[in-house]
Amino acid sequence: MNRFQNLVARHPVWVVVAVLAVSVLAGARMYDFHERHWLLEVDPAFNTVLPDEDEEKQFYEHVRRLFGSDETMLVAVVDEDVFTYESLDRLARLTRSIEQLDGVHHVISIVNALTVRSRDGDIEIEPFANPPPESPEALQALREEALSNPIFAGTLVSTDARSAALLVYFLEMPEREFTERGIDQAVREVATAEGGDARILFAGPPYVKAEITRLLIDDLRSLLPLTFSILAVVALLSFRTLAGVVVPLASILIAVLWTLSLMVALGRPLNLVTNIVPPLVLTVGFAYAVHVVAAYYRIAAEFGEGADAEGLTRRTLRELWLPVFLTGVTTAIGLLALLVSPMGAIREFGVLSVVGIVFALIVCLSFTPAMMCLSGVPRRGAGGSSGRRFDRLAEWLARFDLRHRRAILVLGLAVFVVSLYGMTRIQVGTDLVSNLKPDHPVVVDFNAVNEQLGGANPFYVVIETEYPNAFKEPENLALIHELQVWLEAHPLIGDTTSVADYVMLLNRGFHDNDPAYLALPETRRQTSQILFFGASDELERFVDSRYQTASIVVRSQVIDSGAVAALAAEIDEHLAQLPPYLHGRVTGNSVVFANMADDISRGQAQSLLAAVIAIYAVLAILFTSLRIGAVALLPNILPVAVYFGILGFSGVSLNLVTGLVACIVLGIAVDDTIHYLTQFNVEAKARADEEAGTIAALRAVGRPITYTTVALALGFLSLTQTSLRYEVEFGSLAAITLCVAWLLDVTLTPALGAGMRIVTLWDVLSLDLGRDPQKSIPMFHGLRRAQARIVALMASIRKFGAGEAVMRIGETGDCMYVVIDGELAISVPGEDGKRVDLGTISRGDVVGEVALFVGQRTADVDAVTDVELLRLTERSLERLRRRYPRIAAQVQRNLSLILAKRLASTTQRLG
Amino acid sequence: MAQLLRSSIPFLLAALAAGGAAAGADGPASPASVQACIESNRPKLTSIQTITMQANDRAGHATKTRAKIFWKKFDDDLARVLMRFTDPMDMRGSAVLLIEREDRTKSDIFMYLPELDKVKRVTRHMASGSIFGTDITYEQMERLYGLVDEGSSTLGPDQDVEGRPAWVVEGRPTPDEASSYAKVVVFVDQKTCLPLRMEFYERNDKLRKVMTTDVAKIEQVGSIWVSRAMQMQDLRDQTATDVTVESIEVDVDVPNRYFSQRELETRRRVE
Repeated sequence: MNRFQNLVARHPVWVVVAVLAVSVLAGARMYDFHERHWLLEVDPAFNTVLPDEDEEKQFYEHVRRLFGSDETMLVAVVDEDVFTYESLDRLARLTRSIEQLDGVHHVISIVNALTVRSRDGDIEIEPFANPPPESPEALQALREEALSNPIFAGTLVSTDARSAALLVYFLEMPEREFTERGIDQAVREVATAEGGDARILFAGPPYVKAEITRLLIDDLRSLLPLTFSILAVVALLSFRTLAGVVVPLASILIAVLWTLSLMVALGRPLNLVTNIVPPLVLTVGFAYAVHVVAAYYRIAAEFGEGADAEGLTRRTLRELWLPVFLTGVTTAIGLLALLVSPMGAIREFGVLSVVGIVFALIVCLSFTPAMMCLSGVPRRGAGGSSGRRFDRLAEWLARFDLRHRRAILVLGLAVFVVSLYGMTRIQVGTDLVSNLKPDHPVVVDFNAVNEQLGGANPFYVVIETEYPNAFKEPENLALIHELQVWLEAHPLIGDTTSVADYVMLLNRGFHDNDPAYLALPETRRQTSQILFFGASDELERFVDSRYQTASIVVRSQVIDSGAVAALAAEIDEHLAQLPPYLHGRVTGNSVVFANMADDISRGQAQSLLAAVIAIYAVLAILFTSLRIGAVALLPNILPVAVYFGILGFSGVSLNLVTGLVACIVLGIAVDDTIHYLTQFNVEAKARADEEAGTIAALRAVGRPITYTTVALALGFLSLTQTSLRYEVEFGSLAAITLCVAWLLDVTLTPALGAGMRIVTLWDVLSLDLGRDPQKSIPMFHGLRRAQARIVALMASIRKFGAGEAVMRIGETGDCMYVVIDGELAISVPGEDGKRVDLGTISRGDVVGEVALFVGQRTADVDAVTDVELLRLTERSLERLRRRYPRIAAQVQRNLSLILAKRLASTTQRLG
Repeated sequence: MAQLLRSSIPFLLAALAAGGAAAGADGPASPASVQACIESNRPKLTSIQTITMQANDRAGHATKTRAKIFWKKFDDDLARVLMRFTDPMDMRGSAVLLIEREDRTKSDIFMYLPELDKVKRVTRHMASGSIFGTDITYEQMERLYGLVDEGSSTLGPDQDVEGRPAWVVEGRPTPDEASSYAKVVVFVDQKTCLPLRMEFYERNDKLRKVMTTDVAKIEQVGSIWVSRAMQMQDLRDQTATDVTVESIEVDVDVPNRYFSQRELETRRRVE
């Protein structure tokens, strides 16, 4: 690491040029110079965010293969009366015009839908109203026929005959292609142009998805500049220097550029979830860069005028590389925990975010300090003038935390309990329309269609059996019909259509339009023959070619995924009453999405658990203690609990996007805890006083963690300016949760840590106790090298220069020393006033043990050479006993042995 | 003559298996002569054939329909077709009778449904809808025989189809024809005058359906060439229909009475 620090400090130009060269290559990789367009693609297909191996999704795909897609766009024409020549003629024109559009498979309206009529004994299979009749009598007859037709009424024409619907079926194509080709927009344009003075409404999943896609792309275009601008303002307010603004912003831009370039190289487009990666990398990377820049300014201020840029850079990196690296690791762990999610898009988000964070780390530990180095030694007072005020505030806060430690802990517990209660009220679910704001035209139209045509949300009730031709059997068709009656009685269901309706209409047609025959045929052969001669392609939507699987197309008014899931569950329960040879099941796009709730909850729980365990492991290793690990984790668990509590109390659903908050925030929030606790460790050791360490630590890290929290919160808040509700909710929740985490880090963390001695892994690894301390120092006998270091770190190291007095006879002492290095002389004043030398002690020897137990020094001890001593107090021994009882037991044994030997030697001398 | 086989499905199916006689040595030089080639060697008077239509849906499920088809040209040079269904079981006894009229829009189609014990005259929306659940639509069958009708057809360079030289005729329906297709390309075998391949293009010249003849199943029956197997593939809906001619006899004696409404009503079995 030293080599790297030196490289950055000595050759900042090389580092900057190297990073910029990589960035130019990354930028070039993102652009097609031949075709002159950016290569990064956006694919907000909803299917891509569904679980991969989900049985529900596979069944839906199977049903789609059998019956075609339920994803129709619905164009509703609201008029005074559908059954006028003008209105029908307009519908005919609309139908024709839309059918001519590229990408449209076919259009069904009341004008062109085939019907079976009997005229003078002849059977006529013809379009329902093409050409439209002109006479009032014929129009009236048409009205009555349409409203008594179970397939048309409520679906193609409203029961009050004021609205007509055109169902637009599209060619099979990826959602991305559908949106790129603007097929739904072409339908809109044609319908609006042909619609005249009628009110035209649009609904249906393809339309909603395409609209969301466009919003997403628009958001993406505006989001990055917005986030960037916000961070620029934060940087300006924080540092008030050109370098303080330019360097962090350039650093995060490079990290985002690398990330996006990698996505292009991997052929991964931005999707509904991964579109959050760029703003996330931008904001988290900014936090790293701010830490580096703030440290550079702080160190420059400490050094004063004698500082040089190279030295400042080296010192900055030495101080910061470990905490910044560790915070990167913990953030990455939070994000990697998303890999256990059953949803591919979330896993992809996790991987891409981690890659982005790693890039941010690399840039912030190389480019950022190199740029700061090139910016030179800052002028006095640079890097923010509010330092002193902030320091005073931090000091006040630290004292407050220490004074009200118990109250803070109790309050934290109370917040946790309230949050737990809130969690019980969380609603889980993801759906299309509710992702849009309530006043969005899509939502307005959706609601109007729901009202006018009894349901804008289609799904299937599928009935399957093992017997071919089962759905030509009258009793099975009757069961379907009964099921439809039950469904249509449900207040949330507008209308249903099935093969039974179809057969009944054909039967009536084949019996001279006799209303008595608007019923199911009595025999299977009758049904077969009617269908054989009378059925049109439209039948394929209701029954498969073997008559073994039938579908009831249900138009429901529910939009909320929770309600859809509840309705589907209610229907499934009713379907369980079918005869054993028939198997019923509800499916459809909205149902698959609604049923994702379980996957979201499961994924959330698994990811969070994985993140908590992994972060706890890192903290425990980092602080070399399970207990300290738990203490460090606690202030970060609480914000996550608060986040879930907010979800429960606010009614915001836990969905694909908001579900990311917990892991992201956990990964980020723990950064501040690490920054605080490592600083606390340094300060407490330096002062050999935990309370003083608390105050100093909060003063040192209060400012950067506050700035980074403000930057992160504002970065996430920029998402509130997007058009999609889920992203707005994600941004707000992430910002709030981060603020809660910050509040806890400046209150609960110091309160919890105040009485603790922290030993970091770095301390253990870097502490120098000389060669084989476990062998050369009797106090460490029987311990491993790392355990010896832990003992040393639970105590403290004191250094004395040659000739310096270490202790004086008669003084009150509360510690004993173990000599790590150097030589000490022990003496007592003689009767003649001369000193009586009692000898010298060196490495491994113990001195001052009597005072530790009795309280008074019994000899003078002076440093003969420069010495390094391990200072052991009763408190540190007690701390060792509590934290590391096995090590403490060995140390006590060793101490007893040393004292026993000392006693024996003294006795021998006296004797 | 181009009007001859246009109006009804059973009629067209009956004719489908039969192609033209061998082309003259000089070969046709225009779309009209290709059409003449196709028509020149149809059965002179009658044909009886048994066909199987197997419709394969998107999910890979197949349904079979079997029928015996009687075709006869009457003295007025107009044809009649009787189609009796033998499979599936539920359809046994069902029949369709087509009587061609001079004005093709007035041709009569009668169907007999044994379960209803009624003969019904049927008019049908021609532009859409497939025949008996197959991939073959009314319009496609119509195109098969009316390809050079409107003077909108052009003859392209010859091409090989499965190793057989074929004339290529491209037809573009006029707006008056209200076709579902923007272009139809027919590859006609220069030896047998059988359509070996037909391509139906939608708007933007996107290929939607392809009819292919199994050249290995082409054989001569009496004086005409017959293809015993063809397939119509719907590329968009990913479905296909295989038509197999199990047996065919040409210019054999078929009584006129077979082709009457009364014959349907009396439910007499026609052997």
